[in-house]
Amino acid sequence: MNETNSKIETKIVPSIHNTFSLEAYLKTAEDASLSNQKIKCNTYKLDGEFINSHQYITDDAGKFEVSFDSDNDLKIELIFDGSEEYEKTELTTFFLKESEEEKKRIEEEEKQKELEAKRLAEEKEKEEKALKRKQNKERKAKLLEEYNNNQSYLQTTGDDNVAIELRNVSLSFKIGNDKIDNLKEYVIRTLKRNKEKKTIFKATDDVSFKIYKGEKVGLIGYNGAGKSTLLKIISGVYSPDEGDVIINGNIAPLLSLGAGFDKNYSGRENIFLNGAILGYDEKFLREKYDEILEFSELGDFINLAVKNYSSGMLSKLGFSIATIVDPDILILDEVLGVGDITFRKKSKEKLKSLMESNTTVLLVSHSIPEIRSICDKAIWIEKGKVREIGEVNYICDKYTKEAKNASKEKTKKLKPQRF
Amino acid sequence: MTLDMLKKGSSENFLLKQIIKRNFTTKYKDSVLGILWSFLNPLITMVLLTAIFSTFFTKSIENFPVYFMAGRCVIDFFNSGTKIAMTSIKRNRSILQKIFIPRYIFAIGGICSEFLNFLMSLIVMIAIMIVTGAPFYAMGLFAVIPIATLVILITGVGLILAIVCTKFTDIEYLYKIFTSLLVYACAIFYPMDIVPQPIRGYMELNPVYGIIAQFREFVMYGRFPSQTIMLTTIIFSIVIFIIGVLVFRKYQNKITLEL
Repeated sequence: MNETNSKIETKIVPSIHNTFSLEAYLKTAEDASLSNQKIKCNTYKLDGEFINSHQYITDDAGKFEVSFDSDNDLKIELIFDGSEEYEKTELTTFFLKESEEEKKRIEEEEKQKELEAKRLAEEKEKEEKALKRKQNKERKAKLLEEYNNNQSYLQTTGDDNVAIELRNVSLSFKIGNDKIDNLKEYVIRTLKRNKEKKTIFKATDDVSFKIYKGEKVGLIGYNGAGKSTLLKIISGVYSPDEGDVIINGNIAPLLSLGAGFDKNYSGRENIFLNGAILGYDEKFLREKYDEILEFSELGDFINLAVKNYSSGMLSKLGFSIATIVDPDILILDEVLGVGDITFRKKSKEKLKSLMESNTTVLLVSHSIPEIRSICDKAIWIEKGKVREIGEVNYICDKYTKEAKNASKEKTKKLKPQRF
Repeated sequence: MTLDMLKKGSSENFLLKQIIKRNFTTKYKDSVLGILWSFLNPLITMVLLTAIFSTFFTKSIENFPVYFMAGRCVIDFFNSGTKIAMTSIKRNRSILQKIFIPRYIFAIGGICSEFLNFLMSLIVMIAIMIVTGAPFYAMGLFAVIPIATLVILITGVGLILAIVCTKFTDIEYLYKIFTSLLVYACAIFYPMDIVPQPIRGYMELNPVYGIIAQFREFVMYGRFPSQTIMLTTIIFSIVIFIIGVLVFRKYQNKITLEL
């Protein structure tokens, strides 16, 4: 750009209040406007004290507008690399080149700019965070909406789709410190009027929920919340004191493996005994016998008495028998991985295949990731009551959050003490 | 309860079969002679008791070995059947706590296996009858009536005991004393005639003795016993059975909680 050729024209535009604007045009000597040029504007008090500095960019017509807010007279410096010196009023002073002072100030300014940039970056970060938060919120809202939709869908599905329904189910245990389990003591205590003090412990307290066919439901809660008791009620081991349990479909409770194994029986005989206890009929077991044997990887050991088995072999056999069915409802207390590494993998795969498709799954687990990956609905049990039922991620988030807080509080109390 | 069982069909029958089988194998595990003991055991006690007591009662009992065997088969079935039913819930608590199966099935299974044992000892009795040249009567077939009465009585008593024994563990020891008393009270190895009246009148009220007496009448003498005794034992057994079923039904759920 030709230095001598450019100039700045200014025009003061006063306004009401204490402000006034300075309209300025950056032009070449031939009156052609220069656009997109950087103009710096410094303001001083009349005694030369520096006030502040701004930067402007000229628009297409070479115009830029500076507005001031002041009662006092000001000295204004408009600096453009390449303009002529142009002085118009006592109010404004124009310099063609940057003075020494100016250079210093510019350095300072640069520093300030850097600071500014930093601040801006921080602000941006903040904004991003806020955005993320907003997105999360939106996502949650969406999930919630989805869940609600789902819920309403579920509510509209007919009752013939219910796999498990509990209606106001309660079960309490009597707990006595000194439980009388023989007649002698019972008679003596009755005569002495010194009966045991019983405390009634409500393991399940007015629990109602519906689980529809094909749903995968996780039961979460702290230890002793009554999850396993609930599973036992559903699988029929315990009958509730009050309320109804309605089950549609056949249940495969994988609560215990190899229940009722007779140690003097061979593996083969135990397949039939354990199978009978699990409720299979003879024909079914005969058909599936080879499959069970193959899955259990026991080979010739099957003809040996079970008392000679290792514990791993026992659980392999138990698992193979228990999972041979194709149940409508699968009840699991923790996902079972048994045996050595290879069998563990195999057993988990088998369980996965059982859980697929239309099987209704009810799973108790303390592993939240497992619940999240398997289930699509979660029931939070607390002190025998249903605390919340809902979409799995929603419930799990809440649960982990509370668990974190709880454990924090607990660890607070556990400050190490020196003796 | 038994009707329920029939309705539920094959899987429960299969379970019952498996339980009976298991009872037999655990009974004779680690023994060389195995199931032969079911025959040998009554035979040996019969020989012993005949050697000891037959000289005392030769006048009033014409065929002591058969007289003894008939009584022993019945009382043994009663004792072992009620005992196995009594402990059925307690012994199988590990299963009952984890898996739902009808709680009565172990009691019924136990009684069934003891019934098979009873049939085997009946074979021994028939063998003895042949050896001693005792006469066979067509009337002997009516012996199924006292046997059926006995099964009903055992089931009733067994179900009640199963519940009570789970609640009070020392019932088991008390019942042991009771059963040995019952053996002496049922005129197994002596004729009832030697007991003086009025005691004898009371002893004849014992339904187990009633069943034994009927059984002997049919098998040994080919006579129809007094119908009032038959009727009262049958009614008594049915009443006990009904009480047993009601008690079991009422308390079976509570019992599982206390296992």
